[in-house]
Amino acid sequence: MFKKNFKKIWKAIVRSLAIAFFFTCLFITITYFVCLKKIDTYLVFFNNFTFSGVTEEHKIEIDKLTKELVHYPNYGDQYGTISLPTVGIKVNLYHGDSMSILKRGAGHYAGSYFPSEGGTILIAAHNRREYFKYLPKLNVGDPIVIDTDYGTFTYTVTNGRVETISELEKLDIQHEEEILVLYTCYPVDALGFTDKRYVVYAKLEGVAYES
Amino acid sequence: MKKSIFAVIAVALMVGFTNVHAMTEAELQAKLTKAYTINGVTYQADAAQKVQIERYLKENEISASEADFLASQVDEAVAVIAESGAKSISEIPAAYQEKLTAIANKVTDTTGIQFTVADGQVVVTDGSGKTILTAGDSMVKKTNNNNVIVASSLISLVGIAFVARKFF
Repeated sequence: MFKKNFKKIWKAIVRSLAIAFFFTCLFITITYFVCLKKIDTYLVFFNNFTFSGVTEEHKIEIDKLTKELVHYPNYGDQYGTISLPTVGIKVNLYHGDSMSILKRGAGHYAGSYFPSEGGTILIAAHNRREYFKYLPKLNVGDPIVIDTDYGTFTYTVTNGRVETISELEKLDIQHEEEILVLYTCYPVDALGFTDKRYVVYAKLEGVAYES
Repeated sequence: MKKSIFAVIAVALMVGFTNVHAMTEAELQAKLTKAYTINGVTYQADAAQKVQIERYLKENEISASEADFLASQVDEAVAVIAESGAKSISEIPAAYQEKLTAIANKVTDTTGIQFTVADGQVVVTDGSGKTILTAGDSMVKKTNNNNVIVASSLISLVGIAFVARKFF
């Protein structure tokens, strides 16, 4: 008798939890698609189900005497990797930072300079464990390494801080000094969209060109 | 976005030609990236677009005589916008928009350049499909790993399907 009642009660509890979970998910879905940032929601949702496409890896050509880049990768091509040795992360680095590119790895903003060009380099990646989730764990003095076909570039972290989107949009894309800027959404464990980014600034420390 | 449209048109005009003298290239770059004040409003390629224009010109050679042609087309586009009296791209009357479209179409027919919208931004590619310029999107991208939306949507759909099957 007790067993029978226990089974009935247990079934009722499980059913109630399932219904509550379902309605919670439905509420979250409706809130995102109807009330919050609708366009962002639709873009992110459908981007998750789109095919990322095949990318090619193109060698970048460099002038051997002046070390200037003479041929650049196409938008969407992988041209190297970016490593954060302190946290043991290595991510593929692509030219461009569209949503489909960011699904595959780190995206280099096409409106910024390439490593070796002596300007601002802006790179973004998702706050996933295998990408830039551990960016906030970098300290001043930690190394960041960008490895490409034409050379290996080592940078040293000079600053790391939380900025709003509008603050980061004021970043100066200058051509006087080589500055590497990495960013990802913050808080890194946020469940929803966030207007903040964790930004790491680094200066060029050393270059080893490919022979 | 609206101010970058001018830069996009200016960049589009220079694509598809071959062989530039170094001196002309610098002048052309200056022409494409300088500020144009039209009807009291200043239009100029932003820093990011200047980088992309500089990069494209560095990698691709353009003929000197055709650079003059491009410069004249830029002047024509500026004149059209000035004549319209509009203080923003969105205010340009339909008749003048058609004239600007005609300039863009002439460029497309001559150079093979394409304008596409992908991933929330305008992408300008040359005849070979190589990207010249991206415009219209923010420099700062969405980089949060928002699986909540996907998970909650899928669970909702499963739940709705489970309930709906009782009625069918």
